[in-house]
Amino acid sequence: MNLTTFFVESLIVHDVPRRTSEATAGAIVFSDAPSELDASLRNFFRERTIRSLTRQAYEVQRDPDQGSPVPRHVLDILADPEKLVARSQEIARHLWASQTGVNPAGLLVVILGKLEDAPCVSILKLEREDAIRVAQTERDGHVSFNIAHLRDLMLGKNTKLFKASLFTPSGEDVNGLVSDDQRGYDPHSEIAQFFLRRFLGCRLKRANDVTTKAFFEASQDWINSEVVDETKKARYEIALLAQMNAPSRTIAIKDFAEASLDTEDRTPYKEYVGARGVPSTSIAKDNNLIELRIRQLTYATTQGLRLTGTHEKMQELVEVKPDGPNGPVIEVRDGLKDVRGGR
Amino acid sequence: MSVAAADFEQLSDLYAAERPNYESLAGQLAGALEEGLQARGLQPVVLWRAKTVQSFVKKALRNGYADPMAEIGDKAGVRVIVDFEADIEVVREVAQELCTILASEAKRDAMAYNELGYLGLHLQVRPCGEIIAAADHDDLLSLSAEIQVHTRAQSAWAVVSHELLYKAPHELSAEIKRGVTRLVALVELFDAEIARFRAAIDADPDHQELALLAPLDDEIVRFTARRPDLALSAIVVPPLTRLYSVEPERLYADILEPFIRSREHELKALFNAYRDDHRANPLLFQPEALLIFDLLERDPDRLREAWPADRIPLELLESLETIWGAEL
Repeated sequence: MNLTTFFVESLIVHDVPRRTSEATAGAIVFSDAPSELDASLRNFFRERTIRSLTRQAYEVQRDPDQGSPVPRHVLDILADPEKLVARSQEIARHLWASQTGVNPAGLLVVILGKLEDAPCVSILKLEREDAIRVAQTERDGHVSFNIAHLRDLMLGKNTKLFKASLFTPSGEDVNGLVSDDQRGYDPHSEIAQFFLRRFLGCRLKRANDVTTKAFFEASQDWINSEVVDETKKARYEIALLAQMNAPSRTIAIKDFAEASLDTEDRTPYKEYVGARGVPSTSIAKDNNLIELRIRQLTYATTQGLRLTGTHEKMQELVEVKPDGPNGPVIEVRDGLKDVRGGR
Repeated sequence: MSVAAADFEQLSDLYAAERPNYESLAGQLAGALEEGLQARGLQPVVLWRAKTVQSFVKKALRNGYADPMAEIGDKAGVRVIVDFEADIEVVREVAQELCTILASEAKRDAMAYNELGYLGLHLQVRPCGEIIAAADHDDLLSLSAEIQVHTRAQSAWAVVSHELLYKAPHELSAEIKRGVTRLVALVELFDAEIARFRAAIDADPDHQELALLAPLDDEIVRFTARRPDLALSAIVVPPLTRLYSVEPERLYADILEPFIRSREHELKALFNAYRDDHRANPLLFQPEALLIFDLLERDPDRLREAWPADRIPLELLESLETIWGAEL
C-alpha cells in the first residue's frame, strides 16, 4: 500500500465505554453524522494513521474462522459511502461486544478515505482515561464529536494506546494493515486476540515462521554477498543472530537496519532484502524453521579450521582484525581446556 | 531629398494605415522573446509598443529621411530589461533563434574610450514565421522591428536622461548636459561591479549547491502558491545536496526532475490536501521539500544523519517523513 496516496475524506467517532458487568451496549455514545473537518483536521488524522502504520504494521487479511462482522461492514462502506454512519455504529457495537473488562474505554474512529485514488477505510481505536469525555456538537439535528477537541486530547496525555488499521477491497474480501503503537503484535497476547481477531476478524497474511525464515536468510545472504569488510561482516552476522535470539516477539527490516547496520549500509540492505520478498512491515517472529541455524555461529579460516560457538561467546571472546599479512585474522581470547583427536 | 512639408499629411495617413500591423508585430515578438528568455531561466521585463503617428512624423521631419517608411526602424519596438550585463548576450541569442537579425549595434562599442553616453544593445530584426500567428503572415512577415536591450541600470539612466535632456522645454546648459551624461559612468561601474560580485558568488561551493534551488523553485510553484523562505532553504539544501554522488549542477536534471515527473500525480494530490492547512509543516512548501522527498525514498538513514538538526528541529524532518508516507 502506497501511504503517500492516503487521504482522509470523512470521519466518524463513537465513544465505546469500558465493559463492566452492569453496563450494556446502550452505554455507547454514538455519532449520527460524520464530524466536521477542515484541511488541518483531515491531515492530522492522515498523519497520525500513517505514523502508526509506518512505525509497526502487519499485513492482514480476513480470517474466515472469526465471526467478526467488521470486514463485511468495511466492504459495505467501501461500496457505498452513504453507509458510513450506520455501518460504523455496527462496528462500535461489535467493539463493545468484543471487549472484556480488561479493555479500557476507547474512542472508535472510522475514516472513509482514498488510497491510490480508490476508496479505503481506516479504523482507529484510541484508549482514553475513563474520566475523559470528548465534546459533542449538534448540527441540523445530528450529533457528532468535536474533532478539534479530540485532536487536542490526542496531542495531550489524555488518550493513550493507539491502534490503527487500513483496509482496501481485494476481490470480494478485504486486505489490510494493522498496527499497535505501544505494545506491538504478539500473536499469543490477549491484545492480538482482542483487536486483530475478535474485533477486526482478521489474521496475519503470511505464516510467521515462513516470513521469519525469509527475513533471516535474506539478511544473511546480504551480509555474505554484499558486505566486503570482514570485520563488519562478523559484526553484522553476530547482530543478526542476536536479533533472532532476542526475546522480542517482532522483527522488521527497518528496525534491524537502524539498530545494527552502519548508516551507509542501511538502504542497500533494505533494498536487497525487500527485493527478496521480505515484507517491509513488521514480522511476528517465529524461529520454528531456523531454530538450529541461529543457535551457533561458525568462523571458517583460510587454512581449513572451524571455530563454532554461540553468538554471545563469539562476541565476547573472538575478535576479527582486518590487518593480518594475508587479510583479516581472528584472535581468540580463551583458555585451552581440552584437546581431542579423531573426526 | 527630404520629404516636402505638403507630403506629411499623406505620410501620416500612410503610417496610420500600417500602424496596427506594427502594433501586432511588436506584441507577438515581445511575447515570443519573453517566453524564450524565461525558458533560459531569465525573468526579464519586456515592454513593447508601435510608434505613434505623431512621433513617427516628427522623427521623419527631424531627421529629414528620404523614405521615412523604410528608414525609420523602430516603428515596432520591443524593450527587454535584464538583471545582469551578461544576460544581454542571452537576449541576442534568443533573438537570433526567433528572428533574422538585420543589424546589430552595441552602443558602447560605437563610442571612443573617452566618450560617455547611452548604453545598450539595439537589434533590427525581421521575425521568423514560427513566432507570428499564421493568420498574420501575409501582413507582418515583411516588416521589421527594433529590439532594445538594457540592464536595469542602463534602462534607469536611459529613461531619466531622456526625460531631462530631450523633454526639457528650453536648451539646457552644457554643464547640466555634461552632468547628466557623466552619470552613465556610474551605470557602467554599477553593472561591472555586479558582474564581478556575481562571478565571485558563482565560484563559491555553497552557492553551487544552492543553485539547485532555482529549478526546484520553478517546480514547487506548480504545486503550491505559498512563498518559500530562501534563507531557510540555504540552511537545509547544502548538506542534503552532498548526499548525492552526482555534481550539484547535474542533480536536478539527472535525479530530481525524473523523480518529480514520476511522482507528479502523488505530489499534486499531496499539496492539494495541504493547501488550506494552516497547521501544516512549514518545510512542506519550501522548494527543498522535493529534494527531501527524493531522499526519503532513496536514503532516509543518511538523510537523517545529514539533517542540520542544530538549526532545524529533527521533528520537522520526521513530520515530513510522515507526510510523505511509505510503501508498505
